[in-house]
This record gives sequence, C-alpha cells and structure tokens, in this order.
Amino acid sequence: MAPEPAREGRGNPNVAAILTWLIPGAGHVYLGRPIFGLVAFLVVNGIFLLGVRLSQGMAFEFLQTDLRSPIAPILTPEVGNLSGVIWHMREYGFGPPFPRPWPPSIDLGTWLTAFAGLLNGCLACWAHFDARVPKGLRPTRPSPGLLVFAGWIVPGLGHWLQGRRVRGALVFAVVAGFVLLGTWLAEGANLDRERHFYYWSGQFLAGAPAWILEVLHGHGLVRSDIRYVDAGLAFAAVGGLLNILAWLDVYGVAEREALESLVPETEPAVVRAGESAA
Amino acid sequence: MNDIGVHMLLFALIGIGIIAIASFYSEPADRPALRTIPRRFVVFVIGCGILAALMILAESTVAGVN
Repeated sequence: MAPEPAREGRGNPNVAAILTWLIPGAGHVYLGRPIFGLVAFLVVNGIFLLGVRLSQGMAFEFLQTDLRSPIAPILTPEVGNLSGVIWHMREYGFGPPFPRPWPPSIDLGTWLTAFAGLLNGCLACWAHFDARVPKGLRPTRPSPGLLVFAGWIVPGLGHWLQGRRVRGALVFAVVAGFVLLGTWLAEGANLDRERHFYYWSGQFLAGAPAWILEVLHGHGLVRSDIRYVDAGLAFAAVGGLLNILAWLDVYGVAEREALESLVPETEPAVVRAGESAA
Repeated sequence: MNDIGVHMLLFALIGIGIIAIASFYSEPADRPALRTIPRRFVVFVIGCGILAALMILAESTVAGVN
C-alpha cells in the first residue's frame, strides 16, 4: 500500500511567527483564525497600553544617557511586541533632555509593557506551531506556546505539565534559586529596573520568583556599598537567561507530542478524551 | 583578592546551574542528562580557567594599564 502523502500545514510557520512578532495576532489572522488573532491583538496591546499609561511612556528613560540609542530597546522584553516598541520609541523616545520625577506607578507600568512583549513572544510560538497543523486536524496535546508561557510564569511548570516532573523541579530549583541567591547577594538592589535596566530584563525572564521578590523587596534605597552586588546581578540575570534554554526544551518536546496527537477536527469530544487518557 | 574563596564558591555554583540546564537542553532523558553533568562541569571549569589565564596574560602585556 502506498504511504499516505504528508498533509501540508495551514501556512508558513516562519511567516506566522514573524507576523505575530510584528503585529500581535497577525499570525493567526494569516492562518485563518481571525477571532483568535483579534483577541490576541487586544490582550497584548491592552496590557501594553495600560503599561504605557501607568508609566507615562517613561520606560526607556530609565536608561542612562550613554546607553540611549535607537536600538537600545532590542535587549528589553518589550521587543517581543515589535510594533509596540517602535510606536513607544516614536511617541515617547527617551523623554526630554532634562530629568523629571517618575510617576508613582512607573514600576507597575514598565512591568506591564515588558509582560506584553514576552506574552507576544509566546503567541509567536503558538502561531508557529499552528501553522504546522494540517487543515482539518487538531492536536489533543496542549500548544507548545501555552507550555512555554507556563514555563515562563513558573520556571519548570512547562516540564511539569508535560509529565517531566524531575526535570521541572530541577529547572525551578536552578532558576528560582539563582534569582533568590542573586537577590540576597545584591541585597535587593537587583530588583529595580531604574537601577539596573538590562540586568532587570534578564531576571524578568525568570517569571514569578523574580516578580514576587520585586514586590516584596524591590525598589529600596541603597544606603551603602553592597559588597557582592555584581555577583548578585549576574546570578539573577543568568537565572532568567537559563530559563530560555528550559523553554526551548519544553517547546521541542511539546511540538513533537502535539504533532503526534493530531485528530480530525470533527472527531467527537468523548472519543478524544478517551484517546488522550489512553 | 581577600575573598577569592567566596568568588570561587560563587563561580562553582553558577557553573553547576549553567551546566545542569545545558545538560537538560541537550539530553532528552533525565538520567543521561544528570550523568553527563560532572564531565561537562570539568570541561566548563577548564575552559573558563584557560580564558581567565588568557585575560590575565593580556592584562599584564598588551592590554596593561598603568
């Protein structure tokens, strides 16, 4: 019997991911899922604009003068939402050439703009996978983008949801442990985007451990020299950056499992549930 | 240099973390990944040692600052 020809996906995965990067939701619109795309656009840009409003567009004014350039935002989480960051730079840039007081809600505001950027990165992963799913089929396993999102919010959670619990626990221990140790060494000085703009971007990738520590101990005054502040900054930022490797691991396995779990879209839910349980 | 012991300890800690996550990334199964950690750590330490030696050499020769 001749083998069944491979079915084509819904679109070019790279085009879908890049479109999402350029405009949130555009990748899913390209893949014929306009409602998903519209919701993604509204959620990502809603969070982003709320952040811009709370920070009064001053997120990039945190950067020291000598670090300011048109490409400076490339190393920030906001770059995951490219159209948003371009708009932000055109609209607000680095602010006026004189210092001015920060608005009271600037920390929450810049956290939200950063969150919107990485959220859109997860949506780009989602679009990349959806483009590979042939028409008429759907996976019974979770989307890789969703598991990467879980692994960002809580390091190791993506592995845990895949059933790789030992690995998930070890990833959590390393990533959260590094952020915790870094915070202890830096005496909390790392938990402030204004003070350490790019290190903060690195530790932001560590998800909830870094965010919770920032809420509890962030933005304090530094009254004296901190002996191991450099080591602390390195530990916290490396913790976040190592989480990227964990996401890639989650994505690779999730993609393979989801593509192996494809069933016809018309298959009844009861049968699907039975199959996935088996 | 008085606290070189602390710096060495911190280096060992961050090295183990980097090696552990890198092992998980390159090995799909947990057990082989854990088994490769000691060998990878030795290679990592030797590589960093060579790099540090080159930097010290450069600092004391071509890149020296008085």
